[in-house]
Amino acid sequence: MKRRTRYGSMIVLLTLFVWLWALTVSANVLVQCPGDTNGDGISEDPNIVCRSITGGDGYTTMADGLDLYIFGFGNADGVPDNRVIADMTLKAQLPSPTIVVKQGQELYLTMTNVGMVVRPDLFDPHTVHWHGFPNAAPIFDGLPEPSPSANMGNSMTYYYNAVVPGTYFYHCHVEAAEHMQMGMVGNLWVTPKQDGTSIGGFTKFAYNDGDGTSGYDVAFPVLLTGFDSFFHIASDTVQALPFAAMFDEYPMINGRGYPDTIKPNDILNKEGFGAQKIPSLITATAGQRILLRVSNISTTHQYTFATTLGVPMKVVARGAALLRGPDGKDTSMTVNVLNVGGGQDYDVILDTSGVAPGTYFLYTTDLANLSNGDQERGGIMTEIVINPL
Amino acid sequence: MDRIGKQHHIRVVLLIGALLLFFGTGAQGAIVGISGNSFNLVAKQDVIVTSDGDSTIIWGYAVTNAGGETGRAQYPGPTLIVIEDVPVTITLSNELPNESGNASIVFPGHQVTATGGVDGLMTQEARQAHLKPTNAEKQVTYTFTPTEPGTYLYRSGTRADLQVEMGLFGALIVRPAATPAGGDPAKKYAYNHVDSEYDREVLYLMSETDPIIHRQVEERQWNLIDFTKYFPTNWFINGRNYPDLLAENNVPWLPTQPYNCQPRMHPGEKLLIRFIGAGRQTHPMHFHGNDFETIAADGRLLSSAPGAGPDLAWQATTIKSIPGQTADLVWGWTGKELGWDIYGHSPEDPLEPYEYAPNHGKPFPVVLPPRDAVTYGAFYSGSPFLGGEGELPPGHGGLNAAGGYFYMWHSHTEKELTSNDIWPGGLISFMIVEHPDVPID
Amino acid sequence: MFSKKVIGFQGLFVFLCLLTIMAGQAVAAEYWLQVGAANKTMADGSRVPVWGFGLDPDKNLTTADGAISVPGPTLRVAPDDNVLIIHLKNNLSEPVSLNILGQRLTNNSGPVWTNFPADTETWIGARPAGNYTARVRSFTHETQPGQVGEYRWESFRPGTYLLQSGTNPAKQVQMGMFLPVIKDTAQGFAYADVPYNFELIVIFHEIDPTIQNAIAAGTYGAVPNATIGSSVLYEPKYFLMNGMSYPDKGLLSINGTEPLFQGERLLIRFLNAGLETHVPQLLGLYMTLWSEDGNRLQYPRQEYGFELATGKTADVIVVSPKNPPWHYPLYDGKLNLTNNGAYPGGMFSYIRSSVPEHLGAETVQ
Repeated sequence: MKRRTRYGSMIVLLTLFVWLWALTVSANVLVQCPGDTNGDGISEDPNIVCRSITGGDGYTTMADGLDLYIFGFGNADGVPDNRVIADMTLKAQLPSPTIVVKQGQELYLTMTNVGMVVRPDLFDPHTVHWHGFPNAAPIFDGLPEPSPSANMGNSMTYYYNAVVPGTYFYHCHVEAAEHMQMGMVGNLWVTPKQDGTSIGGFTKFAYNDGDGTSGYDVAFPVLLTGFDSFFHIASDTVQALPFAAMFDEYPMINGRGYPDTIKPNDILNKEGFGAQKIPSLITATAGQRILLRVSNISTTHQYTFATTLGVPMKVVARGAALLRGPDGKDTSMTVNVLNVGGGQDYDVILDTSGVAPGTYFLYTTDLANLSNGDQERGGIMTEIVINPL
Repeated sequence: MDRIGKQHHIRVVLLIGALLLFFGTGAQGAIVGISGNSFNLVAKQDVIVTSDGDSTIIWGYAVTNAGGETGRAQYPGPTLIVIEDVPVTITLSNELPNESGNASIVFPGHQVTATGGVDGLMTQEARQAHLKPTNAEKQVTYTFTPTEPGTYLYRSGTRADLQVEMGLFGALIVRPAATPAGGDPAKKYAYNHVDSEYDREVLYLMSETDPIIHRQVEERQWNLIDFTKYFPTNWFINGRNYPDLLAENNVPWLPTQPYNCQPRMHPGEKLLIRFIGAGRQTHPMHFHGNDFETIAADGRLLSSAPGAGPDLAWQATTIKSIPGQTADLVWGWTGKELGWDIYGHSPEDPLEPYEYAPNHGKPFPVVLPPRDAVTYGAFYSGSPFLGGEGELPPGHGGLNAAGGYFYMWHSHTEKELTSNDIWPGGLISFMIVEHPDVPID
Repeated sequence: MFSKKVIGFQGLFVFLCLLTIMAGQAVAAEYWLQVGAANKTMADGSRVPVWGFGLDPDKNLTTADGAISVPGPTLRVAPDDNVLIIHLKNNLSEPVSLNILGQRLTNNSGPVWTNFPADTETWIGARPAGNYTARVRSFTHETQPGQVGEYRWESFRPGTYLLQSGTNPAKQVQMGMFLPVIKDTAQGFAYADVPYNFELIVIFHEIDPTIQNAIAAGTYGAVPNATIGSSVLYEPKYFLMNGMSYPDKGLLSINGTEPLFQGERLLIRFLNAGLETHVPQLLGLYMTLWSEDGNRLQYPRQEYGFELATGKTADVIVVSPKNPPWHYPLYDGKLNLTNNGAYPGGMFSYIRSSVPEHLGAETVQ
């Protein structure tokens, strides 16, 4: 804890004032949404999806009670341009808001940089990188080096023509080691054109498989990541950031460690804001097929996971591509244990036929990561509840 | 938005000189190495430079040329380029400092006969100088005949945990003996199948160092070396960190790190990426811009049956380099289906090669923020179009004169994008897709 | 101990005939195991406390029977067995359970949750309604200290599997509670069209003596006098294949002294029972990877090494390139070649084909 002197308080106030002034001077908040006639941020064109997110900071609570400072994206859908900065500071979510688009739709994603309130000395831009977007162009790729990135108080609208269905994710790419460690990561997926048609008893599919092999009844995201608590505390207390020593000791699924993974409600941070909005409890009726949209965005670890369902996991796709060879050969993988490296994403089908109703577990077989820091029986674990018919 | 793309031709020609000065040139499409069937290597100690401004002791394989002169050790060792079915002979001598250990080479994936030297755990080893070896013990001769083309590696088989960490490894490329059935003799193939065709190739050889180990070696504190505490803080592609890997091959200020990593290509071309895990850690490499296709692993096509070619190839944007293993990836980019004209064309402009015709002339879809609302990255040309350029703020380096599309190819274990605590560094590289009119040799 | 020679192809026909006679009988593979504490001696002479399984051939589960080993003894389910039954005697002072990744525990009456960290209340079968702080302790039903529990897997699928403790796995599996369970599809066939002549089992795992000593002393975990709260900073000092590190004599050549003639097929069953990924690597030969986690691959893969993640199993075939004698290094591609910092050590061995003594070298071409 830093003790502030009287001079210290004045300096902080002065910095805050200058920072707020800088914000308003170059303020360029502009949510672009073609076809939005009434200003609610929703396009009247069914082929256009508009989303508004904000890049900034906030707080989260780990499963052992530790409060950690984060950077993250907040959800500003429907917030008028002139309210975005006022309303959206300290609203970072972990993971960032989920983005879902249908194949064939165009996504206009506006990201407004609302600044880092807890660190008024930071002037970092933010970007959005859609990880895995095919044939991307740098202007919308979110890499700060070959593109413009939004400064504090400003917006950038990213445009994506979503032609390839699959499981992806997105994250900020500014000083990636720092911003991603700090939590600017979120789920993203594109549903296939085949959705809604009936094949093999399914109407929901992960891909345009043509034969129902990626058909599912219920789907859940499994976004694996981790926090290095020392890094976050250093950021919170304006210390030098320990890159070389970076080591995630709070491994998480969808932004929470066990048992918070099974809590149904938002986890409230120390400000009373529900920053961690995505529970990871997996539920299905016996006999159903569960789709897991799996990704790993840890900046330090690969994670391996398994389930205790007693049935294999069928990996039908990796990297947002059906596991089929160039001439259509089935290259899907049937495993009990799956290793996910940073940046990898997989679509995993769990067929619960023959599984007795009850509670099972999805957990990391990297057993050291069943931890919330120095607290055991936590980390990467969630529960799978199979209900009777 | 101005149709800036139309004016790019003239500016490209004028500014090519400036561009070439910054980015590595030389053979952009080929891999630098030594071709032949007979190589004489020496294990030696030397120094490399890391992008945080530090330097560190390494051990590497040096080359003795035809005139009998041995150069400095290099990190990584020389890329050896050989031909399928042609027997290869490699001699190895040991000039490592006293007590560093014997020296040896193992060649995973090949059946090797080793003669001379002394018996070691994995193979024959060239004896340490201070143990007064006989002439026979001083040198090992390794012979093998590569029976399959592909991407392989070689590394030390002596006290491998330490010697591989110190830098005793390198790439081994086996080229096909002949054009595959149904192939074009003017084209390049990685394997004996037409579906392994490529236009350009690049090496991605991954390694890492723990500075504590290297300092202990430098101080000769052998009994302090403890690999259970191994914790690398420096990561390398082809022996250099970012941004050193952007510079040319054989740049004089990196005398022991001859290889760069600066792939460039045009839309529609195929780039073969020879992907090698030479160290001890797994690195998930993520390729911005488009998917790659993995066509081979460990020097074997991903094939359902002999002769079927890579019919089990899989695509993704991220692949892990497994320690000691290799993979071959094919990458290409056309910008298709983006929904807007990537050249900023008017509809009456001609199509560029591989341009996606349905998007031709389609307008840019959003209003870009004004210049003072954003930070322009160093590789931003000022224009969103391929080959384009635009007004840049004062002080901007103008490092993308030809308006190429830059894609970061980097490790997705992002702590590895640092060099000894300094951001940026480590496993960052950039593929540049250049406008079709920009010459890349 | 971890190798077996299988009858050559000629004998297979006889066996197949016998099997057809026996067809239709659903048989069970039944074992009596104890789990308890022991000490394991590392290659450098130091001793580490372990918890492991021991097979009790007398089937009466008195504490005197069943020597404990880490890894535990190999259990086999015959090709025509559909059921695996284990009677488990718990000689530890905390509850245990069993779990096999990929197989269904048919008589599962767990899981078991407790109030964390006190562990004074337990809930069995389902999470108590509205309670979001209880944490699972065991994936399956528990066997209390001093008790005998029964675990039953029906419709047991063929392949190579890892049986582990299902209780606080970060603690109990780390201490050594694991063993291989193997079922062939037919005598001499790992899968329907994957015959083999000779089998090796290779289990990778690591040991962090600081954590294991704390676990044995009761100062690990969410306990009042804990010196180590969790395994998150796991830093192993020993790296083992089949419970041995180089230069343990049993590891120098992990196939014993059997001959493998040119063209014969060596099946290696790899299991990763540790907490870190390993890379089984063979120098000089290629392996054909036929299955992962007991699931036969649609298309086998030719590699000289591959990534073996934690909890994963993989079956490969190596074809003998020539008549004996030959040997090829088999080791961890991540180069974990140390015993507590000293070299040589760790995960290094050879697969070896030896000339049978009674034949003598000159009779082998």
